[in-house]
Order: sequence, then C-alpha cells, then structure tokens
Amino acid sequence: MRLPLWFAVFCLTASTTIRADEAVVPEKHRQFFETYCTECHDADKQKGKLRLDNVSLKLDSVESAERWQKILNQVNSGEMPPEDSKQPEKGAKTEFLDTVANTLVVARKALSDQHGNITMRRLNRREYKNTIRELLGVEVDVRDLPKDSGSGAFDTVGSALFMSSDQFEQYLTLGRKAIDEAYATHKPLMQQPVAKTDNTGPQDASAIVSLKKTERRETEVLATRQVRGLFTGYFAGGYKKAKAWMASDRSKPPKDFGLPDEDEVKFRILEYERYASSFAAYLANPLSDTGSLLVSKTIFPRESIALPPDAQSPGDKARPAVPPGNYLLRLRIGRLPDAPKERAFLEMGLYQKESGFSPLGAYHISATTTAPQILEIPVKITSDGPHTFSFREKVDPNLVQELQDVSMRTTGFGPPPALWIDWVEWEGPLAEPTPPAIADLFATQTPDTPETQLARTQLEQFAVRAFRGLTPEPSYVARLLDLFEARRKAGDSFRDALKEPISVVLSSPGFLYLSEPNSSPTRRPLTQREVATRLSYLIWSAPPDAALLALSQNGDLRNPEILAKQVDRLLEDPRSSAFTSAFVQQWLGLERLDFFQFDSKLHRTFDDSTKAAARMEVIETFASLLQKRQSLSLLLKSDVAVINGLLAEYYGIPDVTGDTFRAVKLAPDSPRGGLLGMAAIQAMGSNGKETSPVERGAWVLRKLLHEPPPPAPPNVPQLSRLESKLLTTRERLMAHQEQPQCASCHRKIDPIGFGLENFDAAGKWRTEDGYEKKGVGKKKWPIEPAGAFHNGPAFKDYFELRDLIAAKPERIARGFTESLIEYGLGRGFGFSDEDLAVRILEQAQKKDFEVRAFLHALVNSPDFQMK
Amino acid sequence: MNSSALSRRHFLRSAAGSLVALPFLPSLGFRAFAAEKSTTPPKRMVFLGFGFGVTNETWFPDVKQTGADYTLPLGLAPLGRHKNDFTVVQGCTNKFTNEAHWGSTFWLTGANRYAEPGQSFHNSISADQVAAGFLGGDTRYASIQLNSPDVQNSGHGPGLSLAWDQRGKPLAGLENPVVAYHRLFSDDKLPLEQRQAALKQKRSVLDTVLDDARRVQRGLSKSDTDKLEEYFQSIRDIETRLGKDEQWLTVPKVKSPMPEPKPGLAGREEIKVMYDLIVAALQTDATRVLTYRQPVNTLLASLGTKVASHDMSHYTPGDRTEASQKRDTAQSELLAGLFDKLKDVKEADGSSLFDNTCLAYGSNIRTIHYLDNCPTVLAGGAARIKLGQHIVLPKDTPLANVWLTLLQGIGANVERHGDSTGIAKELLA
Repeated sequence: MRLPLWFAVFCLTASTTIRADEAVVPEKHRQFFETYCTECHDADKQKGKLRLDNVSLKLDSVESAERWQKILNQVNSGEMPPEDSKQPEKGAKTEFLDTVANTLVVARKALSDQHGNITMRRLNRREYKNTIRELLGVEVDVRDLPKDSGSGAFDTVGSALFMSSDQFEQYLTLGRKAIDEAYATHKPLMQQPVAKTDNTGPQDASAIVSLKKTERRETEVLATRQVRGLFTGYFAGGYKKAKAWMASDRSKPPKDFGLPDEDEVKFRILEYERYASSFAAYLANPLSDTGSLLVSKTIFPRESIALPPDAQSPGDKARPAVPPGNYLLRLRIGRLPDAPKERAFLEMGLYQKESGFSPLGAYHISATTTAPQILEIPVKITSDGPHTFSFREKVDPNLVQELQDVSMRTTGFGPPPALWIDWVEWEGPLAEPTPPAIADLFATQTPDTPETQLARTQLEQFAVRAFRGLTPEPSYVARLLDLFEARRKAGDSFRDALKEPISVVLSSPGFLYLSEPNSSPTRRPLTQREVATRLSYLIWSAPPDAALLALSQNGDLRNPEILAKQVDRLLEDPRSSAFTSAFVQQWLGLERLDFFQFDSKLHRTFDDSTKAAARMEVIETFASLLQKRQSLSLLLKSDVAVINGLLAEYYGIPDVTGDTFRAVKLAPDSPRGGLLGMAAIQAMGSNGKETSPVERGAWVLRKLLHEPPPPAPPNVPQLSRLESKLLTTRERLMAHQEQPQCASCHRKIDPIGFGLENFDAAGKWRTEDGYEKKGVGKKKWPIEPAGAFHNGPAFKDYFELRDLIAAKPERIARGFTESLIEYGLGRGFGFSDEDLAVRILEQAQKKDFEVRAFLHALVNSPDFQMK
Repeated sequence: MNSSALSRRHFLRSAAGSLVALPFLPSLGFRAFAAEKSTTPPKRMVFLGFGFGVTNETWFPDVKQTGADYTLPLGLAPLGRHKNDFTVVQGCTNKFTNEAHWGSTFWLTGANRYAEPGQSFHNSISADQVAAGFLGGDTRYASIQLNSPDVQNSGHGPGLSLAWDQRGKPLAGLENPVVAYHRLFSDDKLPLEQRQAALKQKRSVLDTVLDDARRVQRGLSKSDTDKLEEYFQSIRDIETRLGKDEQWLTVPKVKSPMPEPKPGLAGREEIKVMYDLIVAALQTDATRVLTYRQPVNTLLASLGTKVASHDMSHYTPGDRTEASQKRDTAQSELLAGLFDKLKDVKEADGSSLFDNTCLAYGSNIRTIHYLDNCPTVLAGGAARIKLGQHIVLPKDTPLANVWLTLLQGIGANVERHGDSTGIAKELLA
C-alpha cells in the first residue's frame, strides 16, 4: 500500500501494541506520590492502612492490581488527595490517571491470560439451532434457551457459556420438538417405505413433490368485501344511527338507536366524516376491481396469505394443516404510477390484533401497476409456527396518524394508495433433501431383523451422527434402547418409540459439547475429526458435512493445501453467512442498535425495516469482501457501498432497485463507503434522538484504531451544571476537558466524535444541528467538524478524518485479528497470543489485508490445530 | 428407591470429586410441610434488584437525620405509610466492583471479578442461594428466580438472574409471569401411576446422559473437567428436584390465590404482577426464597417517558432527571404495594406474611456511575433487624456485612459471606 510520505512521521495516537510486561506504572509517577500522597500514606502514618512510599509500580498480581484499582478509584472520585491538602496540577493529574487506567487494563488482561488454554464449550444458541437443522432438517425456536451474550465475550467463548438444570430440561424439550417436527416434515417417507439401500436424494424429494400444492387467490374479492362491509356496517351504519338519534326528540337514549351513549354518537359522526371520502375513493378506484390496494389506517391496511389450517377470511371452514416444510409466497404486485418513489416498499410480517404488525422483511416494488412484478418470498412453515403472513406498505406506525391528518387537511382524503396487489398465492412444501440421519431412521426393516436389533442399530447410528462422528459407549446405547423399549411397552409404535431416546441423545454431552480430551500437561495436535469440527463451527456455526468428515477420516486435512481448499469451500457455501453475521455483529458491537428506540418524529424514515437494512449493510459489506477476496482496508474507505433498493433510497443514491445487496459505485464526493459512512454505525453512536460524539469517538478508537479507551470508571463526578444553558454539542462536551478525571480519556475520544457530527443520529448527512429545550430556548448552529487527534494530526472535515483513519489499515487489522482469534478459538485473547497475532497479521499483510487471508492464517496456525 | 438411583448418586459423588453431599431424601409419602409440624410460621427471604441506580439528590434521606426521626425524601415518599416497617441503610459498598454498569452481577455476592488468575470473570454464591440452603428444604422449590425479558442495557450486568450458585455460576430466572405462574400453581393432571412412571422415566433419562457424560469426561483437561462439572451439577440439581417431586407427588399444588397473569405485560404492569407472584408463592409456601431482577427500559416506557434507561441513569437537569425521579417514585409505589399485600396475608399464628419475611431492595449502583453507598432498603420482620430507621453505617462498610446480618437473622448458620468482615451490629434490634 502506498502512503503519502508525511504519514510515516507521526502516528494518529500513541502506540497500540502493548505487552504483558508493560503492566508497570512508569517510575516518573512516583514523583506524584511523593508530592501528594506520602505525607499520610508513609511508613509511619499508613493512613487507611495504605503505604504508598514503597508501593510497587509493577501490577503483576491480583493483589497489586487491586491496590492500584483502589488508588485509581480514589483519585478518580476526587476523594484523594483530600480537599484540604495540596492538589496536583491538572496536567499532571490527567497524565497520571491516563497512565494508571491504561496500565490497569494491561494488568487485568495479563492476569486473565488463559495461556492458550481453550475451555471446552457447549454449543451456543446459534450453533445448537444450526446443528439441529443439519441433523434433522428442521428449525427449532431457541428463544427459550438462556442468552449466551452479556459478559462481553464472543458467544463462542467456552468459559462464558454455562449450563443449568433448567437449560438441560429445555434441551430435552427442544430435542423432542425437533424430532417431532422432523417426523411431521418427512411423513411422506413413512407412508412410502423405500428400500434401505436407496433411501436418500431424489426418491425422498419426489415423495414430497407429490404433496406440493399451489393455491392462488384473486385479492379483489375479499378486499372489496371487507372494505365495503366495514364502510356500510361500521361507518355508514353507525353514522345513520347517530344521525337518527340526533334527529329524534332525544326522549330515548342512544342505546335504543344501537349506540351505547352520546359520546359514541359524536364519535361515529366524526369517524364517518373523517373516513367516508377515503372509503368511497377506494371503491371508486378501478384497480380495486382487479386487485387490492394497500391503504394505510382503517381502509385496507394489510393484504395476507393464509396457509391451512388458517382461514383466508373469518367465515371460511377449517382446512387440514399443510405439512411443515419450505414454502413460497408469491404476489403479483405493482406501484401506482403516480405514487412517489419513496413509497415503493412492501413489508411482510406477522399481524396480531393485540401486538400489531411485526415486520419480518421489506421488499422493493420497482414495477408499476401497468407491468406488475412477481414477488417471491420463501418461508419456513413449522407445526406450531405462524401460517398467516401479512403485507403492508412500509411506513413507520408512529407516523400513520400524522400522515392521515396532514392528508385530510390538505386534500380531504386519507393518503392515497401506493401499492396494488393483483393476486397472492402460496406453493409447497418444496422438495428438499432428507437429511441422512432421518433417512436412516425411516429405513424399513428387513423381515428377518429382530426389532430390538434394528432399534439398537438405528439409535447407535443416530448417536454417531449427533456426536459428529464419535462412537458412543455400548452401555449408553443399551440405556437408549431401554428407553425405547419402555415407550414400546407403553404402546408407542416402533418409530414413535425412537423419539424419546433421540431427544436424550440431543441432550447428551456428546452432542451439546465440543469436547477435545487432553489429560497430559503438554498440548497435543487435534485429531483430523476435531480439526474438521473446529473448522465447520468457525465458518458455518454448524457440524462438518459429509465431504469434510470424509477428508478427516482419510487424513487429508493434514495437507495444508487441502485444508486451505476446504476453508474456501466452506466460505463459498451459503452456510458461511452464520460466520459473517455473528462475527461481524459481535466484533463491531452492533447489538447497540437495539438498545433504544429511534424517535420517529425526528428520524422519519429510519423505521424498523430501514434499521434492519442498515444492519445488513454492515454484514453484507463484510461478506462481499470475503467472497470477492478483497481487503479489510475497504472497511475504512471504499468507492462502493453494498446496499439494496431500500438503503439506496435512504441514502439518496439513484438507480438501485430490488432487495439484493450488491456493490454500488459511489459518487466521488459521497460520504458513504466504508464503515464510517454506514447508517448503522453512526446510528449506534446516538441515543435514538441526538448524536453521541462520545460513543462514536470511543467506537472509532476501539474498533478502527485499536486503541480502546479504558472502561468507564466508577465514581467520577458528573458534569451537570451546563444542562440549563443553550450550548452547542461541542461546547457542552468541552467541559470534559476541564477536569483531569474526564480529560484523561475524553481528550482522545471527543475530537473524533466531533469530526463525525455531519451524520445525524440516524446516520443521515447534515450540515446543521440544533438544540431545543423547554424553558431554555432554541439554538441552531452549523456543523464544525474540524479538529485534531490527541497528540496527532489535524483534519478539517469528515473526509480528511476518514482519510487519516484509512491510512492506517494495520490498526483495524490488528483489532480484527484479535477478535478473530477470540471467536475462532473460543477463548479470550491474551498476551500469550502475541506471536499468533503477529503471524496472522504478517501473512495477511502480504496479501494487502485480504479478509480471507486472515482466516486462512488462523486455520493454518498450530494454535487452531492443537488442544 | 431403586438401585439405579442409588448408584447414580454414588457416581455423582465420585465423579464430581466434590464433597457436596446430595441431600438425604426422605421416603416417598413423607410430608415436609413445616406448617403442619408446628404453628410457627417459616421465615422467608426476598431480594429485589433494580439495576441502574437512583436519583441521588431525591432518593437518599439526609445523612444528618438518622434513627427513627427522619424525613422520607421524594423518591421514597410513596413508602410513607410503611415508614415504621422498613429501614434505609447508607454507607455500604461492594469494594471489588468497578463496573459502572453492573448493578446486579455482584450485588448479592460481593465477589471480586478478577479473583481467579487466568480468567477474566469470577463470581461466588449469592446471598439468596445461601438462604435457600437453609430455608429451601421443606418447600416444593428451594428458591425461585424471577427475571425480566428487559434486562439488557438496564444496568444489571452479566448474569441470568440475581442468583449465582455455590460455584459462582449464573442461575437462570423465569422471565415470563405466565410461565412463573404455571411453575408455581399448575398441577400435572396425569394420574398418579403415570406421574410415577414419568419420574422413573426421567431418572432413566438422567442415567443415560450421565453414561455419556462419563465418556466425555475421560481424559479431559482440568478446566474442561470443571466445565463439564456444570453439566453434572445440573443433572444433580434435577436429581434433587426429582427427589422433591417424588416427595411431593401425592401433594397437589396449592390453589393459586391469584388469577393467571395476562400475557405480554411489560414495565410497571410486569413488576406489579411479579410482586403478586412473589406474595402468592410465599403465601402458598411453594418456596421461601425469591429474587427478582427488575426491568428498567420497559418501566420507563410504561411511565410514558421516552428517555432510554442509560440516558436516564445519567440524569441531568430536565427530561432525564424527571425520568429518573419518575422511575424512583414508580418503583417505590410498587414496593409499597408489595408491602401492603405481604401485610394483608395472615399466618396461622395471627402474624402477617410481612412479619415473617426478610426483604431487601436495592442495587450495586448508587446513582449514575457511582458504586459506593449502594441504595438499600430492608423490610419485614424475619431477620429481626431494626425497622423504621434510617441507618448510616461507617463509609464503605461491606454490603456483604448487611447480607450476613440478614442471613444470620433468618437463622442461617453462616459466619461470612462474600467479602464480609462481620455483621452490621447497627442493624440489630
């Protein structure tokens, strides 16, 4: 990479690579003690049982770290030195706090170093779900299992993944649900027994194909009936009753006219006057004769597709349920030619009267009603999951009323429709390969095999698959067989009696834990099977497939070239999205996006679907780098953005249609491209209303510059005095510089945050900001992004700030490497991993930080292949 | 007791290599209703943790007014009608806690996160679990942990509930009031023989998974053996529970004194119904020890404020302070309601449930990012502490001293807890 020459002369900030033996407070700070502390804390007085005249500056034990923590806390809280004694000068105190806080971080890290020891881990929620899917071909709902995150570690870190009795019982229940679901999904096989020798692939598929059905519904019939019914019944009917009572001599109560009271009378008249015109407009629209129009608020807000046993409309008679499996929802849909282009998005979701509409996906409708498009949406149907899917125009539900009112005021009608649906249909279940474990279970008995023997064989085979190739103990299989026989005696059929022991297999340690035995004090190379398992859980969060297991069995994985090919194969498989999604979100801390609600009135287009698309942009950008073998440095600055139609509309980038994320070339002056240009990243640095330059600056230091500020210290006095004044964000935060306790970190954090102020709280570009406070007043100011890194170069705007960060790709590479090691090895990154990190970085740097190179280097390292 | 259960227990002892003895289980049909044996009501213990701290200026009583004659500040004002029946304690801290957003992780444990070299996280048993060891033997459930779906970013910190077991591992909590209700009050409708068969089947299931656990255990390193020990422990816990189920097999669950909660409650309504469940669980003697890790975000939302919980905790004059004070008040109102209900329930000897319960309400976070002077309200008569008081303990008294005082007060035979240095004598009546 070619850099301007002047870059070599300075760093952005201080050096970033620290070593364990650096958990030492520099000698020069002893002076600080001698000046301010030892008058009381010396050998004679030892006030508070603390001596600082001889304190070791080395933080090499839990006790010494604890002592320094206490010193730091005391100075941070302002309790020491006491008010009535000599106070340190601000600059000296800032430097002292900065040094001690960072030294303590180093010490904590050194003391918690696992020295390469990887704690055995159980499958986390995602891995459990994926492993069940690979084994049984069904999706289980894992929301009942305890959350794996929360301790700040990656969800693959074994020491942070626990087990409890409640959880064990959940595994039993979920395992049972999964096998029930697998039976229901593959029932056709049971009805059409096939020979054991030929029971996979096409034949199974054909068995399901024969069940496939298509059901299409022309939407106008139900829609018109519903709109007309609601209008004539509730609105016009209520209006008539209300008017009748009004016209009467009022000697009889409204009840006698069919309305509860006078309030209702008034309300019904109001309702009619408010909506009658919109109802009439709907029914008068010729498009309502050939399809349904999505008209928000009251008229016809949602279209739906109901798979049996759900009914299309309330009066329909019950139908037998469709079997679980993969289905397609299909709609013929178009946008009204005169609708504005931003109203071109359809949301699919679940609707419940109590909780309302919860969106599952958003779709760009680029065709118009004159040449409608066919929209296909794949869905997974489970026995106890939803069977009805709703469709509405994408709009923030908090704005619907306001849009209605504004439209009524200006036009006399509610907002006109933007989307029209000609017909809807569902099709399925779609053919899918039967997982081998299920095919085995459904194999027919050869006439001369005794039942018990067959059951034993099947249970053992199943356990081997569930244990990812390991053979269970005969005593274990015998106990499984006992469970089978107990169910058989209780009257279960042969196959049903297998369910109980199977759910027990799915709750056994051999299934739940990724165990790698090693009783010797020295490390050992992993077996090929263990390497295969580590690899597939790294990239797929799922067990190895047959191809990978086969390679592990004939020893080929020892060959680095073959292993590298497998890494590429796994990465190119769609299952690798498990890695990109989970790793990227945890690495970059995207969970923060869910910590607060965005204020709909202030950030009108940042609704749930847009937020979801913004989150996907981060993941899809990383995935695109991985697939195209591109450099990690493109996360810092790039001339493309990986977006879809919805995000392009949000960013104001023209000519992007459809729902597929792809690289779109950006205008040279676009602030997009790279993480800092992404709405999701900037939105995390806010509270949903206003920006938080502190969050943003700290994030940049943590993730992009690999200089994480120490954790927010306890007991630092808070600055509250400025809140009642009208100040710009910058003026307000400048108070951080006054007190050493704040300045020690904020002098590094805040300038970066100020440089990003051109992005509003929802990541939109702005040039002006404002502040309004009840009783205080209003103020507007132009964004002034110019600033300088602490002890580093200056920048005049966002673009220069971005360029300065982008010129240091080795920083993000370092942080990425540490995170990858943590995620991939399932343990915290420690100083003892320094060599590993350096080796990975060297190899990646040779390939200009190509993302794949990091993964190859990790997998190829001894650490990945040793227990 | 069948032979396989005996051998399993034998195995559990040897496999774990631990000295933790399985409880001796009385024979089938033995009824352990304490209430049946004596009319002295049993003691109960409840811990309520609320995450992010309180509004410093308006929640704490004036430190100059101690003893019974003190003015209740705004944040505690809704508790006014109970003023003689609770005590506000100031001055306590968990000295090892440094995480400014962790109000619950070490609240009841007083542990040092970094105590274990080679690990970045360590915890130890929480006070409620110590209490469960003494009070839990005679009830269907030794303890019940309640939790909320809204605990992320609420100032609680890592953990699955307020409770941590004797190995310092997090205990999962029930976060859905409906599920908690059914756990407490719904009876298995199956006939006795079928339930007995089901118990036997469950034991066979445990035997089977243990068989595989032994295989996995072979040749594991020390840290992996420790990890797998969690699995053994969970099976051991179920074993204990099955023993209890067996013991309680012929005893139908007590009819619930409250209706089934509505689904989907959040915020204030969720806390209210969880408090009702706490009273119902104590009243029916389903358990004697409960903890509840309360929601913050949804509580704020249900109070009509739009301020997010972390912003609320960094209250500054204006909206945020208003939100923080509103939250203090709402929580105190809810707590006062809980006291009302506990007082309304009469025991066999004429005393009230409140008289026989020891309740602690608080957080490890005082306010904003301050971890000293943890907000602490103690109530109920079970621990025989002074009530109706405002007590200011010497600065930085270990919070664990308070827990130790309460534990000894309810009759637990313990000499220390967490980083305790002794009991807080000032609390003793």
